[in-house]
Parts: sequence; structure tokens; C-alpha cells
Amino acid sequence: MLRRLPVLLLSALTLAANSGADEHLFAGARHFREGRFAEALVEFRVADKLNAGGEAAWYSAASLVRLNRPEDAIVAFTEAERRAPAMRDELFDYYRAVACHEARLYLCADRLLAGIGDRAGPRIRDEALQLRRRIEPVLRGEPAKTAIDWYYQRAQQSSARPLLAAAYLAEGRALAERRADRYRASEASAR
Amino acid sequence: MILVLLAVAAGGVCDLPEPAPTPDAASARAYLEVGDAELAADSAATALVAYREAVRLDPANQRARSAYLSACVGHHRDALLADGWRLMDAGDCRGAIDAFRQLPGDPAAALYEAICRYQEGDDDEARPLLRTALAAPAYADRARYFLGLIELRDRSGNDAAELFGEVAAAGGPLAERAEVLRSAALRSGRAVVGVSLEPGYDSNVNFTPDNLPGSDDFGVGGELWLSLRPLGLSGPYLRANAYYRRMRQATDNDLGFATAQAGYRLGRGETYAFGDYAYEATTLGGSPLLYAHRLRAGARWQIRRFAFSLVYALRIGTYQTADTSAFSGNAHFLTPEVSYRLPLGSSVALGYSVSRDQTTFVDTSSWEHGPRAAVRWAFRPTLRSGIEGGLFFRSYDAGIQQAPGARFDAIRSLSAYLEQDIDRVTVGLAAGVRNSVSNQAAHTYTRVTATLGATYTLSLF
Repeated sequence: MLRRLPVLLLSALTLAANSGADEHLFAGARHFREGRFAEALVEFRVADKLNAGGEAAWYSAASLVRLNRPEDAIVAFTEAERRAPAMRDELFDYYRAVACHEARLYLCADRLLAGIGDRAGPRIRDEALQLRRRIEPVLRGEPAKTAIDWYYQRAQQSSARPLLAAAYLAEGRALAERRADRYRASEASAR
Repeated sequence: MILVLLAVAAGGVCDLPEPAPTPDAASARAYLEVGDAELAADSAATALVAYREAVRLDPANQRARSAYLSACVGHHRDALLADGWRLMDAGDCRGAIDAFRQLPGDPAAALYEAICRYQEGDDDEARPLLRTALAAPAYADRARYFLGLIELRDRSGNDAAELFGEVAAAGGPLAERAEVLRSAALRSGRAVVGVSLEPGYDSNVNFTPDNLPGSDDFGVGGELWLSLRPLGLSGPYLRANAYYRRMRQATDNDLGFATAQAGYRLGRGETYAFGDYAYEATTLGGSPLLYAHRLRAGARWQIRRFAFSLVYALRIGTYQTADTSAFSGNAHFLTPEVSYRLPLGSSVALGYSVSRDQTTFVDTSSWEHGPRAAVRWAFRPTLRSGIEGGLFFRSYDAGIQQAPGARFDAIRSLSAYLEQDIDRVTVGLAAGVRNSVSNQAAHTYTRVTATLGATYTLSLF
């Protein structure tokens, strides 16, 4: 997105919009740039409906992060990756990491942030570093059993949204693996 | 909901957007689907954006129009309600009413507008709003509670008691408070009669000085009273009562009095003014003791939990016995008081009273002043107690020939009670001690009383 969003914005300002999905994609990019994230989300979603390519799904997910809907964003990113894996880049990973962080999926966030390098640009790279530093103390030491319980419970509570439930379950399992006694690790594998 | 929808739409809050230059039904359908998905995700604000665009691109699409109006009303309803609540919290009831009135027919808005109206004393405006709120189960208890308050303020005690009874039976967060008010409502009305019986003990019936043998006795007191408020709490009122206490041995101290009172109260709320006149006849030992005219005027201001009251009273009394006739005259009383209201009707009050008893003679004319404090505490909605203490200083203008120094009394009093309401009956246990220390030994005494009584109150209408 670091590469694509400015291109989109520039296109929206300088080029005549194409019909159909592109028009909505450009409109969404314009709203996004101007901070109207609800409008941006709607336009990206409409673009996505009109063009099944999956590109707009990534932008929708980023908009959800800006709308402070991290769980919706996690689901949207997972869907976007399934539908258009080639579109994934470091800026989307950064947004996805923010969503994971806001949903307390710290291992998920840390894993994504670890992959963000210079290609994301200096500002995003620095923000990613700062966020990773904030996560570091949370992940230090052996995870508490209560923390693992919480992730399994959230997974259960999110059963109506399988992708979200899977994210919580994966986090819980990964934390369980970090304990010497592998508390409830096998339980997660069995699900 | 339909009413709200139409009202808000008609009011310009949710005007339909200007149609796009070129209709695009296909895109409109996509926006509609996005709106539906956002609504399902509890994101009404985003849904509204999508629906608005759907209507703009396809104004003829009925589904898009109704979805847009519905989302818009829901979105603005929440905003208007939140705005009203904020203004209520800030004490701006007028502003809150303006916000709530933009949602006519909405039960929540009706409830909160009614609460504001009630606080402002507009009971007639509040009633129909509360009936609207009653229709929604989520607000029914609160609506009943405030309807009960209005009926109580209107002195329709039986109606109020029924409403509070329903709220109490529902067991919600207002149940306890409603039980308190039900108890009060059972004892109030536009026409109320009451009767009480009160056996008790008096350690010093005739105020025997401390250094002489006491004159303790048991007795039974009974009272009958009638109260009329034909126009409700605000308006004229009439009250009559008769009391008689018969002593077992010291029958020359049998005390009786009868009072008839007429007055007017202005204000139905906690802030009001009043004035009244009463005629009172007192007997002692079966013989007339005092005939008195009583005039009172007073006002009370309630500011949040604090209340300030000031009452002036004048008693024009004529004593009927040879021993007491010299005390005939005019007595003026001024009583300021500050009180603080606590939950369940509990309260703390501090006051200071000043009085001047002006008779024909200097040795019977006196000043009296002193502080008093009272605490009323409700343990449960129907069980309460209270304690009251005072210290008064009474100084006469001059002495008498046998005791030339002017008489000066310091009087301490302390009393307490415990009361339990059982439907229309109140059972009460009370005790009190009064100690007077005077520079004249004949007026230094201590008196302890204790009573166990029951009162039955019936609201006629």
C-alpha cells in the first residue's frame, strides 16, 4: 500500500477515473487520504463488490484499522490475503500489525512488524519499531496461564466468525508453546 | 418507530440526498449490500454513508430509501438522546427538552423529556409523555415511577401507591426507592384521615424539680386527624385534629387539645411557600388551659440535595387559669433550617430557633434561642429511625418579687424514635429526655418519656 496508495491518490487527482470498480477505488483512496475513513471503507467495499479481484479488500481492511475496528480488520485482512495474496506488502502488514495489537494478538503483531523493513519507508519503519518496542515487554518471559485461557475464551466467544476465532486460537496456541509445560497447547491443536 | 421516522424525516434531519446526475442502479445495489453488511456489523455510521449513496444513485429504489431513513433516524436518535442526557447532567433541562422533542413518539425521549418536565413542575406536560414511555417495556418501570411521583405530588395518594407498588414488585433498580414512596403515598392524599393510639410512660408529669420526689405516671394518648387538600399539594389546605392523653394516676395532668387549621401552599415541588392560620384549644385536667390563634408563613428552597427553610410563626394565646394567665400574650417564632437529603429519604438537618414570648408582664416575657440538629435514617424502605437534639436558652426579662433575679433556663433535649410501616399502619417506639437547668430551683427538672404507638392512615381520595 505504501507503493500503491500514493499512486492511487495521485491517479484520483490527476487522471480521469475509470468506470466501475476503479472509480470507487479512487474515491475510497481520496476519502482515506482526507481522513474520511467511513466513506473510504464504503467506497472500497463497493469497489470490491464490483470487481472480484480482491485488491480493494486490502484497502477495506486498512480503513477498518483507521475506524478502530481491529477485529473486523483482522477478518478483512485474512480474507484479502486469501483472495489477493500478491497484493500484500509491508504497509498492509503494518496496518495488520496495528489491528493485531489492538485486538491483543501480540505475537501476531510482533511477527508482522518483524518483517517491516526499509521498503516500507522511513516513517512506517520507525512507527513499526516503536510499536514492536511496546510489545516486547508483554511477550517477555513465560506467558501466564490466565492469558492463554483468555485467548481460548475469546476464540470460543468468536465462534460465529471463524477467521477471528482462528486468530485468537492461533495466538493462544503460540503462547502455550512458549510455556515449559505447554499449558493447553494440545487442546488447541485438537480443535 | 414509524412516527419517529416520519417526524425526523419531516423535520429535515434526514432529508433524502440530491439525486446523482446519472442514476446507477447497479452501484446503488452494491452500496445497499455494503450498508446491510455494515449494519449487521453494528456500524450504523458507516451503514448510513452507504445507504445515502445508494439512495443518491437510485432514488426510485424503495428498499434503499427505507434503509437510509431507518439508519438515519437510528443514528440521529442516539445522537439526540446523548445530547439531551448531557444537557440534563449539566442542569440545562430546557435545552434537554429541546433535544428530546426532536424525537416525538420515541419512548426513551418521551421518558427523559417527562423527567425534565417533572423537575420543572410541568406535571400536566409530563403525564402524556410518561404514558408514551409506558408502552415500551424497557422504560415502563421508570415511567411508572415518575407517574407515581406526579400523583404523589398531586396528592392522589392511592394512585401513587398503586404505581409505586408495581415498580417495587418488578424488583428493578428503582424497587427500593419505590417501596419508600409507596409507604409515603399510602399516607397521603387529597383527603386523609388518621387515628393513633399511644400508651406511654412519663417520669415527671408535672415538671417536679429535681430535688423533690418525682411524679411519674403511665398514660394513654389518642389522636384523630383529618387533612384536606382539594387541589393537590399546591393550593388551599384544611386540617383538623384532636388529641387527648389520659394519665393513670395524675388525672389533673390529662392533656387535651383540638386544632383547626386553614392555609395555602404555593408550589408542588420541593421548593414552595406557605401560609396558614390555626385555632387551638388546650385543656389540662379536663379544664381549659389555653386558647390560641396561630399564624404561620414560611418557605423552603431545594437546591439539589440541600434545602433551606425559614418559618415564622405567631401565637396569640390566652391562658385560662389563674396560675397561667400572666403568660398570655404574643409569642413570635423564627426557625431557619438547612437540611441535606440522603438516599431512601434519610436526611440530616441543622437549625437554629429564636422566639420572643411577649406578655403583659416582664417576669413572664422571655427570649428563647438555640440550635437543634436532627438525623433521619432509613434502614429499609419501611423501617426508619431518627434522633433529634437541641439546646435552648430561655431568659426572662425580669425576676419576681420573691426571686428578684431574672429567671434563666438552659434546656437540653434529646429524643429518638424507631418506626415501621406495615401497609397503612405505622408502629413506632419513641423516647425522649428533657433537662432544664434554671437559676431558680423550682424550674430545674428532668423529664423522661417513652411511648409505643400505632397510627392508621387512610387516604379517602
